[in-house]
Amino acid sequence: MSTNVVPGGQKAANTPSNNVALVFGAAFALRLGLLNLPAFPSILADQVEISTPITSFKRLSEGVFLFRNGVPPYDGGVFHQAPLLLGLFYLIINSPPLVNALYILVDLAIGYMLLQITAIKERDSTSEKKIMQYGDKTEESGMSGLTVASLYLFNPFTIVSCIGKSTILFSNMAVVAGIWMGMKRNKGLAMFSIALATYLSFYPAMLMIPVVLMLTRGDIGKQQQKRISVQCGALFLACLISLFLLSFVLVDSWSFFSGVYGTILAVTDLTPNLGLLWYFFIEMFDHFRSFFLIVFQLHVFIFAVPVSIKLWKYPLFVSFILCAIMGTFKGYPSIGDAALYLGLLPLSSEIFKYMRYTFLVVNLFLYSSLLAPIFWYLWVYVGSGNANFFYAIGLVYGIGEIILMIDTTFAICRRDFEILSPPETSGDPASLGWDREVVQK
Amino acid sequence: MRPRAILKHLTITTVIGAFITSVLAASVTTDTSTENVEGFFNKTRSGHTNNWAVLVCTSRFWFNYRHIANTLAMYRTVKRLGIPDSNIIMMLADDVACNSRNIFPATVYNNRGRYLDLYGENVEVDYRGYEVTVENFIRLLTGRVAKETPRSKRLLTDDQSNILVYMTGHGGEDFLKFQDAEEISSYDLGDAFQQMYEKKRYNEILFMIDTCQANTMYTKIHSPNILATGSSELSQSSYSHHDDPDIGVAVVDRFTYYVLEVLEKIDMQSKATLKDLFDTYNPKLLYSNPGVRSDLFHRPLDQALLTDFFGNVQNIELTEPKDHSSSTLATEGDSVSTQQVEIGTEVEGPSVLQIQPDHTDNNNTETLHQQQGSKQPHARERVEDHTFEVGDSSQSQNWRYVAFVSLSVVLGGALIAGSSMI
Amino acid sequence: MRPISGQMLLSTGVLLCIASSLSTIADASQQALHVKETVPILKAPEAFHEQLVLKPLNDGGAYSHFQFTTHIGTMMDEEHFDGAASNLFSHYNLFPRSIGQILHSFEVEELHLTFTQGRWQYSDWGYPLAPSVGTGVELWAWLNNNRLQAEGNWRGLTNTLSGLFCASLNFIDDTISIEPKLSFRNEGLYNVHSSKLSPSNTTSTTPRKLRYGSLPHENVCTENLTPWIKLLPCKSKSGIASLLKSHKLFDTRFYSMAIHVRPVCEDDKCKVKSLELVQTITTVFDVARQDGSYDWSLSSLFEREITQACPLASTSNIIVHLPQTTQFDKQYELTPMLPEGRYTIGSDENKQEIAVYDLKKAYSGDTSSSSEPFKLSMQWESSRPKSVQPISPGIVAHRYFTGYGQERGGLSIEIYNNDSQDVEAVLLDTLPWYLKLYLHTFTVHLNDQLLENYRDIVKKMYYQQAVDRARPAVLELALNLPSHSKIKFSISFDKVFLKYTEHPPDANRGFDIGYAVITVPLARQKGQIGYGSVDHLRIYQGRDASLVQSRRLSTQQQEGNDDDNETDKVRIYTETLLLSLPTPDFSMPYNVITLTCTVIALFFGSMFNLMTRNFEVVGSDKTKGKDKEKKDE
Repeated sequence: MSTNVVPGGQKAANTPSNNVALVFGAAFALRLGLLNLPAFPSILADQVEISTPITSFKRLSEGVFLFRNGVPPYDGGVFHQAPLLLGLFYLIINSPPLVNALYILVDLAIGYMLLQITAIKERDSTSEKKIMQYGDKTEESGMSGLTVASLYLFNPFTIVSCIGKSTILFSNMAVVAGIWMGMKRNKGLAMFSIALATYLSFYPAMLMIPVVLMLTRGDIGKQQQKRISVQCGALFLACLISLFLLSFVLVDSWSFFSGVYGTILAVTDLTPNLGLLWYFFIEMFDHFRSFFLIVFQLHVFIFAVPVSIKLWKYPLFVSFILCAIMGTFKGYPSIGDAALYLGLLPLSSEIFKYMRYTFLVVNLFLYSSLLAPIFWYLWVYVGSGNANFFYAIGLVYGIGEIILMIDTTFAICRRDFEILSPPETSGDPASLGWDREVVQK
Repeated sequence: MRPRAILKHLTITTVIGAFITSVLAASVTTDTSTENVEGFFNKTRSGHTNNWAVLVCTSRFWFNYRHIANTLAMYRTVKRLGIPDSNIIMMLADDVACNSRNIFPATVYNNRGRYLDLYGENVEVDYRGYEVTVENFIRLLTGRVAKETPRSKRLLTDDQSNILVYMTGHGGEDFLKFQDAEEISSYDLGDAFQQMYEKKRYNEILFMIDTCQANTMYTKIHSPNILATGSSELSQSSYSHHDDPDIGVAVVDRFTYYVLEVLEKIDMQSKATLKDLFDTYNPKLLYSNPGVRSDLFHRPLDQALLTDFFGNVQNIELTEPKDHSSSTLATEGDSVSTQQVEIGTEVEGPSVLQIQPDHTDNNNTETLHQQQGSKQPHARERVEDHTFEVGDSSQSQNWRYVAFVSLSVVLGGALIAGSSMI
Repeated sequence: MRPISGQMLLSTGVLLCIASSLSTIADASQQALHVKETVPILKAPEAFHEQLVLKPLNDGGAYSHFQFTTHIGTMMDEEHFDGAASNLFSHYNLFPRSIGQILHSFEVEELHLTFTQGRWQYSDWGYPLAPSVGTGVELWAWLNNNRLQAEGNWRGLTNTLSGLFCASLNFIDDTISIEPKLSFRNEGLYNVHSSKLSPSNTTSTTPRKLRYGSLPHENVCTENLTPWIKLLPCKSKSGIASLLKSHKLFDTRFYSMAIHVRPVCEDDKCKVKSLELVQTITTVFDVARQDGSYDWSLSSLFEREITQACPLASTSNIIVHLPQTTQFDKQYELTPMLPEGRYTIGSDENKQEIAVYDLKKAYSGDTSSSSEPFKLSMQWESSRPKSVQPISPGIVAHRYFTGYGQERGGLSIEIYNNDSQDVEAVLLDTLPWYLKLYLHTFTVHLNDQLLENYRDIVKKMYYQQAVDRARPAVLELALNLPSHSKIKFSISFDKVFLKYTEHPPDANRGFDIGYAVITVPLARQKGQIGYGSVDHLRIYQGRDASLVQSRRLSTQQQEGNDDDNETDKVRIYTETLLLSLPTPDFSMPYNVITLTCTVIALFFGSMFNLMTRNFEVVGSDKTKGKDKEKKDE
């Protein structure tokens, strides 16, 4: 009956902080161990599911090498990553231990940030009305911060993406940092993080909306909300422009625009990946290419506003769903994108009980993850399969992601309905509980 | 006074009279020559002044040797009957003569006895290998070729050209395969011919096709003055004639073989007609039913000569004299008109077409690549140089990096300070 | 009035007649005057020379090298000579008009076009006499760039040459053309636009642009030979060119056919200049294939006979390089053997013995049309070559792919330096854009040991990055090859996944990757017949070997090179390679579009559904009636 009022982050940290240290230590050790295996990291880095043309570490090394030797890295068709990554790796690219340490640190930082976000969310939820489950039983509280962090840190997708040194990790870190700062109501850093994420991989621009929702959540007047929103917009632009200027200072030309964002948007490199676009544009005739390209890129962005309007009360979930949309329909999706949204999903753990197709989704993810490398090998190395094998398993993976998104959206809508019209107000006996039948109209 | 005046008058009248008679004589002679000219351009006559041939082999790979042999046999026939190389466009999708599988290098034979080397010493292949595509073929017919296309790859016909279009390869119902990768449909062909008709690019066309289900390819043609013949009907295949055990593959197709049998017997002066050719079609020998479509052809078939299409016998065309003043004041001995005699020589086509018709779309200035279909921005001249020396990192690089690091530190500090304030 | 009118009529008529005739005369004379205005100031003789060089190879094959040189006639003095704009190309006598028009309209100063079939075996046959022996078609030209229209001119040049030679040269476009920085320097004996050689030259130094392109998969056949023969003054009717029979020429182990056009000097001081067109055919006959015997004769090789020298030729020679035997002299017998036509150049290891047969002299007395065919044959003792001095070429290069699978691979180039000295070489490698090179994986192995710091061997490295569907990758290295060593360069690459329409019709065959070119200076003794550029081929003309040497020395001195020995720049060509790229399923375009769009529509529909519809409670079993509550959001 008595709800456990969690006074805040400190309390969460006090409850066994050894656990936290244990979890993070184990994650650190695991990654360190795997990275130091002789051939494993390079095998993973070569897999197309893990590294795409815009996140590949091999291409980053090539870019840094060219940059160090006086050849403009954006003059050719190999390097398509943001110039700040060149700056980041300029000094450390030749020493593997430092690079490994950087990746491990970034991964752990994301885990830590998820921990903090959960703490803030728990603090917020104490002031909310609790949902009754069956009569007088209140809803169970959501997952603890440690669970969320460990779900992220020990997710095989995350580990594999870290070992493969995919640079999507930095974009993921910027996204999670933006969400954290948004929850902490720190406008400047939140907008900077989102600007950084946009700068690195362009699609997180639409995450600005949920972050603004986070910044203006709670009991704040409309005027104040508008003011904050406008301030955030200006901050976002200012940060983005300063990032571009910084890049110009580094590479001394503006050609990185077409090299980075041109490739991201125009999908010029058709290396296969777990997305839906590569085979489509391989088989497409040139005549229709621009039309479908524009449609597909628009498709990624058009859900931002409607979802945010409908689910404005749940900005954490909105950020999850937008990351999932990004991770499914962007030009070059990879396992790293899946790691991001699967890490954000436990932040809305209350909706799990309303999900209907969990078993199906888990199976689809499992099947596609196991079969994709096999079909790839059959096509590209053995020659006994053809491109359709890998394309089909990419479709299965996409369907898995889509069912996950639809199911979770259904779940949050259902939960929203539950909050707004609990059984007692609708005249139903309270014993009906939260799983009464509803229908969509 | 009087006799002088009379003399004067007499001289004047004689001069004027002579002048008038000369003019009349000139006109009379032109009249008679006009009659001769009209005799050339009877309704029963073709009305063409030059001949062109477009010979297309659309098959690739060694086992389609016979298609190349078919086309080369046709090439040799039209050359023998007078059409010069400059008026023949030959498209061969593969090279079998110098193929490493050919044990008789630089030769192509279309019979087992290897009596005649079709390749010979003097052969001109205009489109070869990967250049033989549907796009190039249709561009060739309609004249919408790229600006840089050389003269030997253009079909420079006018409204008095008779064109022989011969195609061979693998086909099916309403389509013909190009190089096993793409197809041309009968609708495309009909449209191409209609464009040619609208642009007045032909006088008459003989369209001959030797593939499986060939007759379906000419069912969608709807332009006048086109006579079409094919080797087999719908749902029938065309067969090869025989093979050569030394070369290892079939060397000629049945339809072409029997058509060549007829053509080998005629020469430049022959009066054999197309009806004679079509009468020799024997489904029992061909194992298929060849067909003829003559509803679009205005002349009766028994008056259309074989050499109207396969040869280059031309009539003389008299044109208007260029300079009117000189003709009226010239004496009778002067030239009446400038005669343009076009007989099958090495000279390129009629002088009317010195200007190369440039029918490229303004939007479509891409060069004719074929499988490497890249669009190049022609308007932009490439001035920059993209070759760089790979050396040790220069000093300026390091300085730039230092500037970058310091600037980023400054901006980061400003951000953190600012965010705590806001 | 009457007399006036009559007289007027008569007089006007006469006047008009006179006027018209005068006008026509004036017209004609004006045209004549037009021509006479631009009379050349200096004149150099037009000349045509033909040679055939025969050389038995180590393994018994017969190497034949046809060479036809034509010089164009009228010249101007220095101030007016501009190959592009002068009326150099208004009067053609021996020089073929088709080539002249091409040079004129596309402002080409130097042109080199080669068609090759087969691969030159350096280890067995040594260096070839022809400068370019890379498989496929090679085209490179120096274009005058004064109006920045080099791109348009290059495109026009490739298309026009494709029409002239019946080859698919129009495929040489921006995705294949490159501009090498160190290789393929111009071979003209003087630089038209340079101020160095002629101090009185007041013309500005107009820049010139080098464009190079090659098609490794282009095949050569009779339709390419036919227009080539038509460029010769005598065609194949008389003279040495009458030996050119396609059935035998294409039945060889190696066949290469080329035209080289470049500006040359006619005298020592380069006062008189001319344009030189050199046409060469190089073949290696597999002599023993017919009956196991290594004896050959002109008729057995070519199945044709020479019955007279070309009347338009100034010189007409057949030159035989006599094989150097290690043991005794009478290993072979060459008939006819003319004692006065035999020369020995060099000494010991580099000894060259050549026998020269002058056809002009042989047929000078004969004016009748029927004359005896020229007979030349070589018989070996017991029909096999024995104890022939082995050829050891100084530099040998090979290139091959490494790795497996259709996703990535590696490229390795091995260069063997068998000389006893260090050699400075330039390596040029062009890789198409569908190979993404990783320059940071570039490694150098010296004698199979990895070099950490390869700056001793690779002096300079120039790199042009490939851009998808726009430019190829170019790697040009200035090397210093140590003596008696093997150097291996390796680099790894990723294979690009091409679009459906970018695959050729026979997609599973793969793509041909063109050769790498290594330019090596080769020293030779004074007066010897060397290899490499077109320069030394003039020596066969017998006329101005000394002229070539003096010009070369003067240019070398101007460049600061004071060697006594002369050096040729030999180009060594590696093999072409075949690369298989992963192919999509070509039967699937509509299926793919349908399936992908279905998946996306599945998401869109469901999401739209969820966004726009609200929940309602369905009546439970326990309550009667329906409780419906709609919540407005």
